Amino acid sequence: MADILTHMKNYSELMVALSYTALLYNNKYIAEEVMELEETVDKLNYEMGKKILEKASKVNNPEDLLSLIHITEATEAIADAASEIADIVTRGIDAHPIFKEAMKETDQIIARVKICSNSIIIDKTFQEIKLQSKTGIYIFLIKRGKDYIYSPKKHFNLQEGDILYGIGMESGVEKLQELANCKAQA
Amino acid sequence: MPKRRKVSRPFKYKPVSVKDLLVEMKDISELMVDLAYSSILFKNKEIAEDVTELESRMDELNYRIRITAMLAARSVEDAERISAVLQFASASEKISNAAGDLSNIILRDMKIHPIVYEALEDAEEQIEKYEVSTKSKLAHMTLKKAELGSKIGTYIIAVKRKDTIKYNPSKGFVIKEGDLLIARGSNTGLEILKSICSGIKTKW
Repeated sequence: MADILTHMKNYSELMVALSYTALLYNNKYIAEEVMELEETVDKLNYEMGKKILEKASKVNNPEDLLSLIHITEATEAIADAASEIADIVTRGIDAHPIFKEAMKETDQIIARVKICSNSIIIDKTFQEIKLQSKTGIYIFLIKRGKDYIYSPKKHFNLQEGDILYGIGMESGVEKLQELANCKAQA
Repeated sequence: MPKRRKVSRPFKYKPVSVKDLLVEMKDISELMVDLAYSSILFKNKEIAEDVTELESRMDELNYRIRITAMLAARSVEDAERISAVLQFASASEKISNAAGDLSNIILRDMKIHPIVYEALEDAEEQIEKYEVSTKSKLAHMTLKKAELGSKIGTYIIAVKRKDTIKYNPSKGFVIKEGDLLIARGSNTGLEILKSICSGIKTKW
């Protein structure tokens, strides 16, 4: 049960970060990823609801479960809000240039970089390439095919086609793109 | 369930740039979520009350942005673009409301189920608080110089100094010994910050 809630919290926060990124770069792919994650969170929310109800029938004091309901609802609401932000991008409204200015003013930037063919980091581990000390970007998530890998460890082996999500300063993003041999955003 | 009391005061229209409003709404809503989770983790009512306080600031910002938006539309194209701004504003208000609900768990003295702690402890992003010791290199350093975000991937969301809490401290903020830093980041980053704060680690 705790693991479902952990996932919900992780995904909801990831969705908020991604939706801002989608808005900043007016990027439909990232916006669509937010929408996919929204479906995942919906399913988890349903699972969680079922588990809470099952538990309620077994404990003497069902009131003790209230805090669980509140947190589950809050993460679901945050995920919903993120998909509303992403929806601005998917609907293809020529988003107000103000968004770009506004997003740039916040200091953390989320980078999304794909590893393209002939990149020097293919088949290397994080430990070997010392990505964080070279670019200042902390990779918090990797998308490989349909899978999401959270907080990849030091010995994680990078492959062509992996999509790296990192947090850091804008100057580091360019260095990361060079290493990944990919200039394009998506 | 009784609705919690919110401080509401009449708002006055003041011309202000939509960009500034958006930046503030984004920053406050994110801060509120972090603070709400930390109020639960640390069982801290003070932080939970601040979340409620920030919620009323969000109400005010939302009101301002709506008025500004209505005054700005002069054509259909304008209106379409501005509707995007309003959608963003309402989404960040939703996020802040969710944060308010989270902090309410603490304000209403709800019993927190152990599963909640289990879930929060396993989450990707963690929140911790550390006191800056006199031996720490962080003392007398600005946040800009400390470069905690780009070097170790931790972000200072609040600093408690004596009885006051400073939220979202700016880059020019000078850290002092005795400050309590509330930081967000991964477990690895936070472990490093812990040893920086205690003075064990002098380079990062």
